[in-house]
Amino acid sequence: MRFRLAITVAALALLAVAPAAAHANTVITFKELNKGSTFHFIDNAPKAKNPRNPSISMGDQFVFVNPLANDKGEHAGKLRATCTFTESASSFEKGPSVVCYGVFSFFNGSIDAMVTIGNLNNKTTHGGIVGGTGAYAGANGTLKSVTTKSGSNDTITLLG
Amino acid sequence: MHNRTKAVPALFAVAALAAPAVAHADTTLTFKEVDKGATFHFIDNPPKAKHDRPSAGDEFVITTPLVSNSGKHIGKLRATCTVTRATKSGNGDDVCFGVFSFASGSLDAMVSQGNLNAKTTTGAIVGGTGSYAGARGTFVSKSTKTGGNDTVTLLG
Repeated sequence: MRFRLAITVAALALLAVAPAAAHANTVITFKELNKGSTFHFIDNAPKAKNPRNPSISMGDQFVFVNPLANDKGEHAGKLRATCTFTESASSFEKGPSVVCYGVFSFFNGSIDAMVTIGNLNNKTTHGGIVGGTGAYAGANGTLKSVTTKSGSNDTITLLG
Repeated sequence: MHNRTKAVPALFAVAALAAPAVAHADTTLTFKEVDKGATFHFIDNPPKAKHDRPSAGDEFVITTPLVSNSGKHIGKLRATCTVTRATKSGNGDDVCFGVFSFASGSLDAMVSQGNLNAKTTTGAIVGGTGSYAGARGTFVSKSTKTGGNDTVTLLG
């Protein structure tokens, strides 16, 4: 009888320590808004012949700042990012590939992301979360961003 | 009695095995960035800067010597920053990434600054090499008259 009690206590002890190895993932959802955003294209050499509808050469870049809103539509922060084209194309519409890094800045900390987009016209973007500050210090996980009419719906999954 | 004494050490064994998973201490590194010997290059992408005000898409690259708190040379910071938005006051914002290189390894950092002229910069440590392989954490850099005082906190 005592032996059975001891086994039960040992099992409870195991249960008590189990969460240390089984942290749940954290999912954060928010929106990027086109309204209030800024976008700037950097036409590095060789220069495009038509600045109004520029062709893309490898090494061209763009930078943008997007306001972030929570699911209620309240202002939640900003995304600041820079992207570099890794292939040439006759126009943006051809969807050349880019690599990007950016920082989502929230009121309680920031989350750093790295992304490669094989085709700029893709409506869904996947990326890696590689770090953070404040409440997100040490963050790592993934990012999914789905384009909408007003911007995009973002989901960040932070690994436990 | 025999069964109880056997069970209690088993409990301690379970606790001992579990303890290290929750008891890693953070590591704090402090050092200084020094302006003396540093290089700075501004890349003025179109449109050309007016009145020394950067525009979105401008970039700058820096190399800054790192010294210990006793003033001994310990490495270099190499970084590149891209202005993501300009303001009339010149207080634009940017994103940066850089690598702190030390003799024992390197630390990779990413930063977003909401104000280029801010005196305190906070960013993330996203990786490393050598002694710092797999590093994760944060850093804070505070401007001083001679450069900056940096504190890196690596999560345990």
